[in-house]
Amino acid sequence: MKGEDFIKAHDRVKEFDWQASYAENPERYPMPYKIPAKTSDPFRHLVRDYCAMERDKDDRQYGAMSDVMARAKMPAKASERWSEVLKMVLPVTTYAEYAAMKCTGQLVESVSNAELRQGYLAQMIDEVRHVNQEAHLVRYLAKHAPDPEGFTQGFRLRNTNFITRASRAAFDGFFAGNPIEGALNLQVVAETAYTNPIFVTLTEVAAANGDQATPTTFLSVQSDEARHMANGYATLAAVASVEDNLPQLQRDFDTAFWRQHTFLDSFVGAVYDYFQENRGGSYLEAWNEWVGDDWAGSYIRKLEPFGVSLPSNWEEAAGRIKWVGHTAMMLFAASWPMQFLRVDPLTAKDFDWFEKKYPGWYDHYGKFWESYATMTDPAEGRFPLGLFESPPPLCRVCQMPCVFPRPDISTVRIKTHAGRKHAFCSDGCERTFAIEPHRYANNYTWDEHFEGYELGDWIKHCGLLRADGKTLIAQPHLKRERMWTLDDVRALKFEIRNPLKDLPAQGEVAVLQ
Amino acid sequence: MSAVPNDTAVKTARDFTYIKPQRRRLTEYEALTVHMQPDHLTFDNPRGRIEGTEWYLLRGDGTALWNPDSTALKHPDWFAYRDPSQHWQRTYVRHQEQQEGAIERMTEDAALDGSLKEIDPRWITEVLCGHYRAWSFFDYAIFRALAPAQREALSDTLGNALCFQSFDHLRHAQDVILYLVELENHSDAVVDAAGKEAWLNSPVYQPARRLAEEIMATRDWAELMIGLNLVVGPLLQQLAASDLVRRNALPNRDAVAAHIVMTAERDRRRNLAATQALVQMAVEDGNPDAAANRATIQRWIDDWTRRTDAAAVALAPAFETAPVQVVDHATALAAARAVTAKIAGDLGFTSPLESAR
Repeated sequence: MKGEDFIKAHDRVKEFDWQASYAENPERYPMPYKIPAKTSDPFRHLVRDYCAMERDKDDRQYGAMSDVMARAKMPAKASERWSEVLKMVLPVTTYAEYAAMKCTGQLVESVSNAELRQGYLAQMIDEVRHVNQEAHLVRYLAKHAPDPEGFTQGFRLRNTNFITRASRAAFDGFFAGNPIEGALNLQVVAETAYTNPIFVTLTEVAAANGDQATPTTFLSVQSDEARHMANGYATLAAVASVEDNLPQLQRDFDTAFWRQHTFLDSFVGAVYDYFQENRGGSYLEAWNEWVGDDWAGSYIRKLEPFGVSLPSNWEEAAGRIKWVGHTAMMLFAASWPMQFLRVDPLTAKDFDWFEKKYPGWYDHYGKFWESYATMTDPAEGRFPLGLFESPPPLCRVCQMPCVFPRPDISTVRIKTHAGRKHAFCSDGCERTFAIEPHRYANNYTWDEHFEGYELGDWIKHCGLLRADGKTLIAQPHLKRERMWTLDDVRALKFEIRNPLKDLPAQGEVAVLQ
Repeated sequence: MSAVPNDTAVKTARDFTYIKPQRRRLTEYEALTVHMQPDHLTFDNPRGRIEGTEWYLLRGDGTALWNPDSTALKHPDWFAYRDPSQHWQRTYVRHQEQQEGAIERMTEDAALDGSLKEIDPRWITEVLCGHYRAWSFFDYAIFRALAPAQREALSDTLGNALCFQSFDHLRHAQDVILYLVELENHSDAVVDAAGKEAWLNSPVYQPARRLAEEIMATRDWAELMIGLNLVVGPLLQQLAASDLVRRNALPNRDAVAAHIVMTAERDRRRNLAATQALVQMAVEDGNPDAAANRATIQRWIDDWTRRTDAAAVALAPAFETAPVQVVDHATALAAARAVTAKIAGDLGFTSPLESAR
């Protein structure tokens, strides 16, 4: 088709909406925003071009994986340390894609703007693509990785693992609220700020550690994300073009940023820094480049003339980045029997890298990792969380442990609301709760679910055992000898507790109107 | 390299064994689709100390992220639904790319061999622009309606089927535009704006527009699926696209329009099969709500048939505009009514069109 014909067709596609005159369609997802009917067009593909483009990408990705990579047994050649973390990363990202699909359905319904609707439709089917691609990668690794245990169970464990539960708390934000709140969480923050460090830079880590399957999948995913970022920008610009929208927009933007930051920066930071074997850059460096310079320094600053500012808690978040991944990883490793992957101790080379990339790291985390290395043998009869005087409570909003940014300077606070006690990990999460406490009425923490369980019973309850019915899926090392069994765990006599019960409340949540 | 112990007699699973396959083996479609949507009642229920359903974040109005009341139908496990087409994104997009590629090549060939210049100008102005282009708005409405329906559907397998159908209809709507844009290079008879004018103002299309607006206002995702695919597809889409456009196209020397409609018919057959599977699941033995579901579906069939039939009847003058007419409205309507009644009858329901069979 000639260029002028394409433009003509595209212009006509944008004229599909009409003013209904026969049936009322009451607002399905009420929004405190007015959206202008005409905006800039973020998406210039027609369905025909879209299908051709995506089929081509699919053929390349799936073809490479099922052909050369499988025959060359490439998954078996990847670093085992790195492969382990994919057992958790992939179910987490897959759910984010699924939640994104739901977000775009809401946007198609609610944003009365034909230009934007075209973009949302393509994104809706893109998200199905990403769900399928990432689930396919999990299944591929289950089939080909040396240790399939964990890959086969990750989706099933989504609601019993305290980290993957926190991912739900973050990504439900894509579609739980009004469509613009969803677009801010998904397109403006998660996709624009975080998909580059996850789907681009993390693939460099994967490739450097012998994993070709993840880059093949993730880079194909990321090739769609540029369009989604354009959707986000166009949505944000459209909302910001109406002055009355600005106070609500800034409040929702602040909340969206904090909701995604609390989970993504601690989770991705831990994944990035602790599962590299062949070491390269750090998460802090990737964050500074993609989130600090690119997103905050360029993308958001360009919106300042329209009245959109960086999130009010941006400086606080930026200050926490140096520590949150290490803190999350310390809790993760300390609770290793509760996980569904193997976490090996750090080596001297790792120690040097951490101190170089994060000066001061050893003073705060070094001793923990030295102790961790002494507890890998079940004969020792110890596991790190058992040595904590009290585990931290879990945040009512983000579901992460309240130990951030660092245990010695934790911003935890305990408050009550409507006769119920809540822990919050930060000012941002308390504020998010205070804006709409009713949205957390059916929200429980992992501790509340499982308090009183003996650890062995809990592991059995959750199905965290290997095929022999005795050996744990999780291990504190990568060796085939001296793997921990259910009997070893039972000998620890560890009972899950809900620390929130014993912590005194520091007053009521001050609800914001 | 280390490896995990393999000295046990127990074979380690290398697949998602927690998914119950519909047939003997887990299919790629099932593995990549089932349990992607959280299910707080069963699959995602931690079964710990807390009873009742759990939501990390409720909607702004305090309701759950997925609401059992999003449809009047009841089923203990919507996740057991399987789309008979077994489409996941790759197979679906490949299928649509093949259909679009075929349309594109055919249009290009027809342009190069002069076929497009041979089409009767009255066919182009009256039927393609006045009718088929107006009809593209009807397809657009279905795309709009199914996007939030996929959001609200109570399982991943249902949501994906609705998502794909939503895409089907935008594809079809855009195909009409693309074909007319190409035709403009070969004929002066193209009046693109006639379609929207007819859609908005012609009495021929007002019952269809009313129905389209009601479709967009329908909140129940299962009602949409059942109404659209058991009634609107075989009765109204059949009449407006298959009978009026596809069957008359070749006698009016238009091979491309016939082919475009055939690709939409292929999608329609897929969506009909998906809906038949949904209905069978809703009324199957063992579902404690089967009787109530049956009554609900019967009510929907009755209601949608009444409204859709009115739109189908109103299309009569459009049939008269075809320069060469191989099928008249009354004959086509009678046949479409009979097929629609048979579809309901085959599923154990009655149709208000029963007498047409």
